[in-house]
Amino acid sequence: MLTGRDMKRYSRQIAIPDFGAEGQEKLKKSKVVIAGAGGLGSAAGTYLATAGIGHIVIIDDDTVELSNLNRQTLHRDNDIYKCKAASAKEELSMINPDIEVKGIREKITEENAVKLLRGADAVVDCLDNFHTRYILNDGSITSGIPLFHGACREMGGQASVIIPGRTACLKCIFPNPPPTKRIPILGAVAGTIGTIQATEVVKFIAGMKTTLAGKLLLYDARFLAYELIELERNAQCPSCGGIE
Amino acid sequence: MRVKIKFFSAHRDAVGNTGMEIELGENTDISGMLDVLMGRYPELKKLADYTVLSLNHKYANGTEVLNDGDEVAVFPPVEGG
Repeated sequence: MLTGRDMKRYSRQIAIPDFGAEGQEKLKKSKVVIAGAGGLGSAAGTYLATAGIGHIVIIDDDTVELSNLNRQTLHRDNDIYKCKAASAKEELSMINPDIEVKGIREKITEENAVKLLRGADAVVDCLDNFHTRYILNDGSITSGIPLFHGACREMGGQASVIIPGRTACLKCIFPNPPPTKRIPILGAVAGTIGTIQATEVVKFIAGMKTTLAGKLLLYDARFLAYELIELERNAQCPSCGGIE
Repeated sequence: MRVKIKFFSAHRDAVGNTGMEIELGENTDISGMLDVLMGRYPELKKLADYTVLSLNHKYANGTEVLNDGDEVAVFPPVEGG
């Protein structure tokens, strides 16, 4: 049930015709897991918190470093050496004290992924490596929880919405990962991709059309070029093949 | 036939261009097109294991035969966050 304070706080988005108080109430009741409190997680977390997602869980096993601060806007100079999950929880709770935020300092593994996603309506992939992304992808398929994928490199990135059993999963799209290395990233580009992820989560939970479901968006900020690609499931996919 | 190609991320860096049009023989498939590109831009070979393609804004599996005027995108997965 929305309170008078909720009606005021979220009035500018409640006024969106196909969103309304009904959409806001759905956000309030929802639980979203954000995997990664880095550049993508900072942007996605900020806009999911401001939008009024009732329960946010943010997971990261890392600590804040000075070199994170060009893009990881949930952390400040005085958060250096602090656990990112705690720093993100603190900041998100200040951004919106009307929601519940939980920070979990844990590495996502094959053993704990399903447990960490339990009860979530959506999981946001804000990770920084494909090894853990594939684990999260498999966890989302096993749990039947939609995965909102995002990733960035230098001045570009990609995003997709994966509905388990219905649309291509991360392994269908990218069967082979790129080599792992330290990647240059412009903060604003991570912000753009993270914001697209948050927008798609809000649309999905509020019952609006999720336009990125079954599609892959490529974004090149250097030349302001976009490509929207329609995806198809791979029947032989080792992660989602045969799952309905 | 002429095909329009767009490059993203590491593939854009490998060819040094965001896009180009190339002339291909009739009945060339999209993997054949990639072979032609790798011949011209050897840096693309290093990315071969994780190169992803789309044809006319639809994900491509590599076997699609190309037609005059087709649009192809060539890109890798990116992994930063």
